[in-house]
Amino acid sequence: MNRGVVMPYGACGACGALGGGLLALCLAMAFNLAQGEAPLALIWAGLFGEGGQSFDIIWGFRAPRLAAGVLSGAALAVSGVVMQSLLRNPMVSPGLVGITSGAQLAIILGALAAPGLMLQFGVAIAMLGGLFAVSLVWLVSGGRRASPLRLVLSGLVVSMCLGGLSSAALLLFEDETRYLLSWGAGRLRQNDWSGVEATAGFILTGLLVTFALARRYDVARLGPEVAAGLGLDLRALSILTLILVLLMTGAAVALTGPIGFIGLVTPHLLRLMRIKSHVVLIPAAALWGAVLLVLADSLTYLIGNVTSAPPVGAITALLGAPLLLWLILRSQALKGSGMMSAAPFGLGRITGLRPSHALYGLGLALGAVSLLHLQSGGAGMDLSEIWLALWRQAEPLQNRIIWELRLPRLVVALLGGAGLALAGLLMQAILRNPLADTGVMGVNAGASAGIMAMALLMPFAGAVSIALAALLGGLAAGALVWALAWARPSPTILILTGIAVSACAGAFVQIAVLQLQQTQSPVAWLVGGLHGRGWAAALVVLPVLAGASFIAILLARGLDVLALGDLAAKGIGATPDPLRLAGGITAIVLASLIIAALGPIAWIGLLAPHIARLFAPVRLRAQIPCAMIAGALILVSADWLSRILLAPSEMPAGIVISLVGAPWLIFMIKRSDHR
Amino acid sequence: MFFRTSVIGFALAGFAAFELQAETCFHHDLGETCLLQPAQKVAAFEIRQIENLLALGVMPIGVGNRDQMVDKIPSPLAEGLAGVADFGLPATPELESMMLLGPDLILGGARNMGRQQESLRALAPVAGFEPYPAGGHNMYAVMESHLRAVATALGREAAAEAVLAELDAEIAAARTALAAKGWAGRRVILGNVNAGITGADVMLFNSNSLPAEIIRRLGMDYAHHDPRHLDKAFEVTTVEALIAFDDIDFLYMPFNAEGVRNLMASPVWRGLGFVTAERLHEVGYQQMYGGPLSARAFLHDLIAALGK
Repeated sequence: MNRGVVMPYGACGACGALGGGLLALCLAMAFNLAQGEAPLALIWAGLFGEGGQSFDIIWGFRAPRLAAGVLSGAALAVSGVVMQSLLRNPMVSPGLVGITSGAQLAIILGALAAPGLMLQFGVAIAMLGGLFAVSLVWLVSGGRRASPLRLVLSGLVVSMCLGGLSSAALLLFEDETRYLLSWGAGRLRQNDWSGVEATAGFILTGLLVTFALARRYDVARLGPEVAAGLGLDLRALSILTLILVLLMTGAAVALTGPIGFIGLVTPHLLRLMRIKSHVVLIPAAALWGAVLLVLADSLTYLIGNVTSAPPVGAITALLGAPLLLWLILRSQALKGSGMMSAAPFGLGRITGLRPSHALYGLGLALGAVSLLHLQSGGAGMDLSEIWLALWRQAEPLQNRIIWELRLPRLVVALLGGAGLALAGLLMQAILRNPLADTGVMGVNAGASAGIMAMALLMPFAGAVSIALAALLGGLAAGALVWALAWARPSPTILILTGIAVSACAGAFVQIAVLQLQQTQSPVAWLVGGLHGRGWAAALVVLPVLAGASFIAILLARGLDVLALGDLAAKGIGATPDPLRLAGGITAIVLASLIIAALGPIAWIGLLAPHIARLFAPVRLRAQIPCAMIAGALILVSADWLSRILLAPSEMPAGIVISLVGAPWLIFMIKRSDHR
Repeated sequence: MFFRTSVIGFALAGFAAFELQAETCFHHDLGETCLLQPAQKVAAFEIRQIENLLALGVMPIGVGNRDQMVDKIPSPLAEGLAGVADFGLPATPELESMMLLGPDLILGGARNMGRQQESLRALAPVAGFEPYPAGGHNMYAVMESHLRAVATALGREAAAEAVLAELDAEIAAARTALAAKGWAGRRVILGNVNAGITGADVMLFNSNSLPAEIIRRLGMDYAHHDPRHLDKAFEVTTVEALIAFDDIDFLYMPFNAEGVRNLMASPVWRGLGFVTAERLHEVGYQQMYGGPLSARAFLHDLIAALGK
């Protein structure tokens, strides 16, 4: 291809992207306007006949809905484009760096605290939430130094954290937040123009200013050195872009609720059209982002009305997540990632404690919390009664309460916490990444999808059937991630594939939750806890945990070598892929089983290994017992709190952990990073 | 001969007595439960089952989510609940206090009881009832059958028939009164207006819903039948769906006052046939997955709204 051909091709690509985008948008808009609950024939007759309400319906409901779709789609897509260019990272989007979940949390909290304020200051509150999320991601990832992968993972951790807080709020204030639910999944539906009027100014300003900066983004994409050489103040541009992105996505979230993947998909779509210049890229992204969102909305109307149709946010996630997967698997940039050197960020030893002393300390703490755990419950009982009951010497009912209710629950908490910690430790070792755990491999999302499928198919299913569905879902998701990444099972590919598979399962869960929401409380099914767990659960978990611990100790030395990087590991005769597969299968099977027994519980697999590394920074074999005791300590403490906080009601342990554990994790990562 | 006959007779009588004692059986959505004797100490979760007990004149030994139930159940009978044990949320019942109080029957919604049945069965027989059974049932009949099943378990069948007969009698009296005001044969639809941050939902009750049956029994014609949404007996839609119902009386329950205000300010709403003709009637909000007490409260609200 010579230069003479390139030029017209580029120009033609530009006119294709812009002209085609405009044409596609017109068609999508016309199609969308024709859709709604009122039959088309009635609307048509009203427009050209007598006394109908067609104009009111179109102007009062459908046009604002369409405008919301166009504005929101354009805002998200343009935000995605400039973020990807500025960070030179094809995997970022407003959703992936936590802005959407931050804005969502802010709106939920705002609606709970001051519903009246939300109508006036919705955009401002959403923006504050987004800013908070971005700051957290920035802190966790280490800012500009962050590698693309680390930025994405930090975004994921922060999103999970804020999402956990959102679902805790939804669960605890179910009646107050019920009216937020359909918004919470992303819907374009409007009552009148007030929502659009309140947000359009912000979005349009953002779009125009971004467009005015187009040339600077062209320069910024060349990299910091070139940009500096060409006299671009990258710092100022970054800050301005952050403000613009917050403004646009904050307004979009306030208008339509969190809608994912538009900001990720649109830039890639344009890349396929070979658009390079931001002067074309930005308006084209606005057009195509709008087209995608409006078309996704139309798709929901084809399925049915509000009762049966999924929210548009779930549709974009269902369509966008596989695309993300495809991008990851074909990405040139990630081809050599298996050869990346050691862990992307190091963790130093924080205390001077020796591992053995740390073990004693953790063990003592675990013993103390276990006693507190045994002591809490609706029936009271003091320590002497518990002691007697342990020897079956107390009153018969007390013996039963200890032996049938409290003791099995404690044992399951101990085993489950230790197991999740071990699975997380193995996962972090094979992925060489301290922000990974089995949740990143899709196990939690897969289990949730299994549970929701069960709730839809067999509404009266008992705990055992639900656990089996969760087990199948978790294992299937884990297996799918490995199968998809089979050709190149490098840490980066595995992590990104896991995120994409989780997103697919998450979209299904989102749809199922809304289907079930009208007649029951499905969120309660999705939060793990230890309520009512008996000896059967302990008997299932114990042998698998024992086996997994044995395998982990066997693999430990090999995995230590893996930490040097695949290239170095191969150099000293290790075989990274089989090691990684063995560790991965062990971790996924263990985590799937425990999550089946407890329900989806996040964070332990992330937190416990961090605690272990404080005391035993280098050798995996020393980390294993530390992490397992720390994991047990976390889960037993969380379950103890879950029983006493709202007694006689229970706040599931899964929520306690995400309320307390998530901020703690962010703090620990930040702190260890300074060392 | 006489001896043999009497032996057989005694044996039969003995069997019959045994049968009588063993066969307090009733059906529910998790299967069939048989009790040796009528239940007396009952633990109940979720509004419908708690209402069933109260309507039958039985105070449960404890209920799930007690304080909320005291507020939520539209009957003075609910005040008595303040004195019973609180067993926590239906999704996570407090097993220890239940074990201490020793219920002889645990009642609740089929989904939560189904999920908990493995741990609850260790305490007492468990029965679960689904207020929205799939299959297009008449939900009023479902409510009646749930009440009768619970009455069987308690050995209070007569009380159940009395409750239902009283409801019928009230409906019959109201039918005459409403007919005098010209309501006989009017086409009516009931909706529930809820609002999100942006769009407003209109929840329309289908022809097989509980309130639709009450409206029909009051002598009116229930005008909304959507075969696609018979399972839940309601559907959530938007105001647009209402323009097809020009000639009806629209009854609405305001789930959310702000949403109702927003909705009623829109030009489409103001142009709707039943709005311009002033055939719009607000009815007090009641949940429709409750039991006989909620049904009766709805009836009273309806009579108050239509009798103006």
